[in-house]
Amino acid sequence: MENAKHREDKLRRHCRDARNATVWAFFAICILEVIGAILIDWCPLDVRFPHAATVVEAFKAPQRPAEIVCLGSSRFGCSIDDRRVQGHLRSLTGDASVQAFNASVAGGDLVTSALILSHLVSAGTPRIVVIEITPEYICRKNRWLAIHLTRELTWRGIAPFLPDVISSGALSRFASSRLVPWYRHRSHFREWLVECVSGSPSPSQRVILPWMRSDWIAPSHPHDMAALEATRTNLRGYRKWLQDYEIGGGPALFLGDLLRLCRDRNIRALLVGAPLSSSHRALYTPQIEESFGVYMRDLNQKYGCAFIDLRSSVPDSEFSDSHHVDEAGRIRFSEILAREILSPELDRFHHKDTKKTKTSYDQ
Amino acid sequence: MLCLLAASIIFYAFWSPWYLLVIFASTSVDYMVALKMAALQAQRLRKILLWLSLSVNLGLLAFFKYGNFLTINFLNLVGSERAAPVFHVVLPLGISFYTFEAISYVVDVYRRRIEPVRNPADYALFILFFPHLIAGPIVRPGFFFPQVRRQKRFDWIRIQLGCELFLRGLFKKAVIADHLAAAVDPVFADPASFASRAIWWAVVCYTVQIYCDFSGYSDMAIGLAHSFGFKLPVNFRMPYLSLDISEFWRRWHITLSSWLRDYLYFPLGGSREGRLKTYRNLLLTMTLGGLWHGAGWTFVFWGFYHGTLLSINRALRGRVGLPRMLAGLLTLLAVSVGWVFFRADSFSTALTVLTRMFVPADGRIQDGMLLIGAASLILIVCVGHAIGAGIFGKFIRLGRILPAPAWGVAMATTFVIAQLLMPDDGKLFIYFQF
Repeated sequence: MENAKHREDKLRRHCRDARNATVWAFFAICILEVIGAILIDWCPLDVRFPHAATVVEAFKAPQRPAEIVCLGSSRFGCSIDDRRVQGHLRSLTGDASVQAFNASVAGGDLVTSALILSHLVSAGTPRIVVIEITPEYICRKNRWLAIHLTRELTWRGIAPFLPDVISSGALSRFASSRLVPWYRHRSHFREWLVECVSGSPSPSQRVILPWMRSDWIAPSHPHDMAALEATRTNLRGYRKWLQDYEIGGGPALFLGDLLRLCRDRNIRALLVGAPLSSSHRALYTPQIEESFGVYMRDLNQKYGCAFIDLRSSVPDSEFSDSHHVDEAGRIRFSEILAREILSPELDRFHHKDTKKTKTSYDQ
Repeated sequence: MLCLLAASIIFYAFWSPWYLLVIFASTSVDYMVALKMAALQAQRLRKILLWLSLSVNLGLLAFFKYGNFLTINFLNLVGSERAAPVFHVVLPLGISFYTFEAISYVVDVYRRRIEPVRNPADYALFILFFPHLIAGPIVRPGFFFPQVRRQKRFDWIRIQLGCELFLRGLFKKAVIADHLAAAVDPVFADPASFASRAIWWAVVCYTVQIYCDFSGYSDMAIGLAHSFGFKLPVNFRMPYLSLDISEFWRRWHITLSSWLRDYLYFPLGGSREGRLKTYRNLLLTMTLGGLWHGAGWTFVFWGFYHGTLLSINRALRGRVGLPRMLAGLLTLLAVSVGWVFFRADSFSTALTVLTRMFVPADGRIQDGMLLIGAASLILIVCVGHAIGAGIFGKFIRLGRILPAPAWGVAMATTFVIAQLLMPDDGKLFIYFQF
């Protein structure tokens, strides 16, 4: 009888300890994950987004930072040869000190551009910022959201995207990035730890974007079935992106932030439609074009920024796929950008003309 | 129970909803055959039903798993010059495991060891219960059905135990096994370019990797099942501490080796019909066990190799006495050599690895940091084994002596560390392919 009572007491105690340990473990895991989700927002740029860090570092390298900065994705990365643009501008304006800098990153959009510009202005304020823009970039449904969650978005940045997390196909990435950050950002945390211990970024963090190399040549069209299929898949992806097109949400807010920063810092912001092949442009229905045009006009009124549509400035034969130009397209686009867009803008600055001039591409 | 069954069906459907039809078809046949068999008295009819069920189960396994292997080898055997047709069929997840479970159920009913289950949901749960569905442990019906019938109560002790086991398994798999793969994969991809010591390192690392990978999965499965109020059989008991190969098979993948013993080795005659027949039975059982692992001659040979080792062990039992340490090391070496055939994608790769293991050769070696990392992970496993074997004194579960909050925080910290140390390119469990 005594033994049975003793056994029962022991079991009850054991059960209570097990409950306490499990509940403690559960709450400790929740707290540690919350700490992780806060910590990752403080992670240095070179750990979480090494491409952006390389761009910022390259911008800061010269004694006098460039006065023309191009922000965008790999489309702009391929399309703009900043040395060529710089050469054209120097000969066109006669100003041998003018500098252009291509700050585009792969998988970039307005979220990325806003982040990069906020870092660049801490090193020096450019005069002109050329911002890549196409209808998909300001679509409420952001297909890059999954990438942004990993590399640049913080809790504050995520907030405007929250209503559209599911339609953007980033629910699982959002959940893992914010609820189990130690898992999703494990490589970032490890790199950060190494950086803290060694005091310098690990070599793997020094990633040079291809278009930042002086000897880089934009790839030409591979003319094989695999490339054709990849292009088709790509177009299918964009078609899906543009379904139920609606401007707004996080991307529009980030564009607003970007343009506000430009206005506050007295930077001339030029929204430029990146060159696209006819098959890509065909994805934009008249309804999409209409709402995009209305939105661009609204932005122009609100922030005084021009929209210059260069989407059809490069012929289809000069594309390596549906939305990246080859070397010939790169040369052509760099010249158009320098001669027809940037040179008149620089002239305006040089002649201290405060009156807003319209380029031939202004809408 | 129905919730668990629904969860298991959803779990399987996530991978492939179409293959649910395969699993439902075989499950229905086995369920009905067992019911009918129990109702019949005529032994001949019962046997016919048994063969019907075995044919369906093994037929599906043969079609999905061995279709291409059998076709290619048949055409080679008859000397056909035609290129063997390749069937592009995806192996249904866990088919090898649930086929063995289904066979054990039908055979046990046939032997009148158990009564057939009346409720089809109970039988479906036995086959589909998601913690063990994909890669075991192989559960016996006599072990599982009493638990289905038992009233389930929320039990904190089981939840805690389940969490601990799950964490242990996660750590073994994600931290140890997946990182060791980095020291193994390049060597087995191109063994001819590596030096002998690099090959030895790779083989040692693979020996630890496969243990941590598979026993890690088993721990996670057992832990998950505990949390749902089910006990699954133990699958590993520190097998690398075995002093002979027969002990190794009593400690490694215990549910498979005991299944092979009860449903193959004993029906073949076991050790009752003389020495030569015992060797034959051992060879046959282990060779088929090797084939069960994969449709490839390297797996068949791996099984045959272990059958040979078991036969030698049986022949020498009581005649040769080795110091315990030496016996343990020899067993570990023999097992490690066997893993070469298990890991290599072809005989030529396996032979190159073995040649370079035993004949000194120059070549590439793994990166120094990689070796230090691998050595640290192996050391963790060794320390774990030493603790488990009681080398540092009587093993006491920390959970029993630490205050509950400290133990809870320790579990949470282990979970976070496991997440943090997972490699960037997570790998599937090795046994998923079987």
